[in-house]
Amino acid sequence: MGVATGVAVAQAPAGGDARRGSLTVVGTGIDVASHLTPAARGAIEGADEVLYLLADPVAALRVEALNPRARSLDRYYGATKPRRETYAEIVDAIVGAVTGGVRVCAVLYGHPGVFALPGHEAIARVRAAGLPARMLPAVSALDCLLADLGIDPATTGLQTYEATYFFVRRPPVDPRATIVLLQVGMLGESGGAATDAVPGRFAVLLERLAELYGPERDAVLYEASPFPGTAPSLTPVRLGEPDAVAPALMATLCVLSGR
Amino acid sequence: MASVTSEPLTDLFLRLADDPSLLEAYERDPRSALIAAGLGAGEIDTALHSPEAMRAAVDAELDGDPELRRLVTTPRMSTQTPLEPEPDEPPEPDEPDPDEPPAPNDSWESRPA
Repeated sequence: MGVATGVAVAQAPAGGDARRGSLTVVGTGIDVASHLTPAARGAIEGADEVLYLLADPVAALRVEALNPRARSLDRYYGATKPRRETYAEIVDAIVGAVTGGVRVCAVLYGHPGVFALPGHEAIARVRAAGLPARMLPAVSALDCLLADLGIDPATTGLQTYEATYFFVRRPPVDPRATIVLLQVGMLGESGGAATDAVPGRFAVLLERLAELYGPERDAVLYEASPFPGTAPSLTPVRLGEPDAVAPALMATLCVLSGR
Repeated sequence: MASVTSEPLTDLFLRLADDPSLLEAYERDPRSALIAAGLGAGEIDTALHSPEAMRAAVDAELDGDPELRRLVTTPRMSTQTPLEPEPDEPPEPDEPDPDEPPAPNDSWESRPA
């Protein structure tokens, strides 16, 4: 599934040259001071136009310092505006700049292709238009979780879902393996901001997980720290006590392996 | 090197990003680096308490600057559950829990799970 609104055609505005348009999609990682790779930094610095979507103002400032032509994509979001519409507009903005004949760097937080739709979609459309596009890997929130919680997927197995997908689709799970549900802070939300309904949905989610894993299984609400020297946020969760906690906006729920 | 000298905490993080030796020293002893950056003991205790507290401290700094206030935004999600059912959709589960909260007001989300 994508958000493409149509296949882009390489078409330059007057004075532009679509043949030199290109797209590089990079991620800043999570830690604002240490996760940006040299390759991503080079792509930002060398771009004619930088379009960014970041979760932290320090990261935004850094990107703007690396390239004064950087512009935020945050303006496409609205509290009640469907995110699907937002993503389509973001992809249109990125692809439109590339087909306009400039070297574009799209910058997303974390890994630009992990639980991040617009980068993949923009690359597909730019390539369909006959122009070069690539994605550079980066540190994702999932990578931070594995490091901070000491989880090796080779030992425990690992299942990862977007929380709303898991909530709605109820995919089959291996109850012996670790499961990671991202975006629990936006559970069931289709707009740009969380509503008061999220805690209630989260309680139902925990009840379902308790049925699958047993009420005694250890779980944790996790939030990676974007700041060096500051520990991640870790809140233990008992699946059998669904009313005990409410997830923060950027939280991830991890049900630990029973092995 | 990026710099916003009137925002000591933000400026410190920007300098850490460009100076590996400073970053190493900060990770070894963040409190000393924060004192050197001009933060008070109370501010440091608050900021180091959690990522949320540090984020709030950074936001408060930038929110006071008319030029940089625009950077203080709500973190955004960048993916969403697919609309279309999968080709090999598994069988429908049991009846939904009567206490389950109403489904969100979006066609894909309001389908019976």
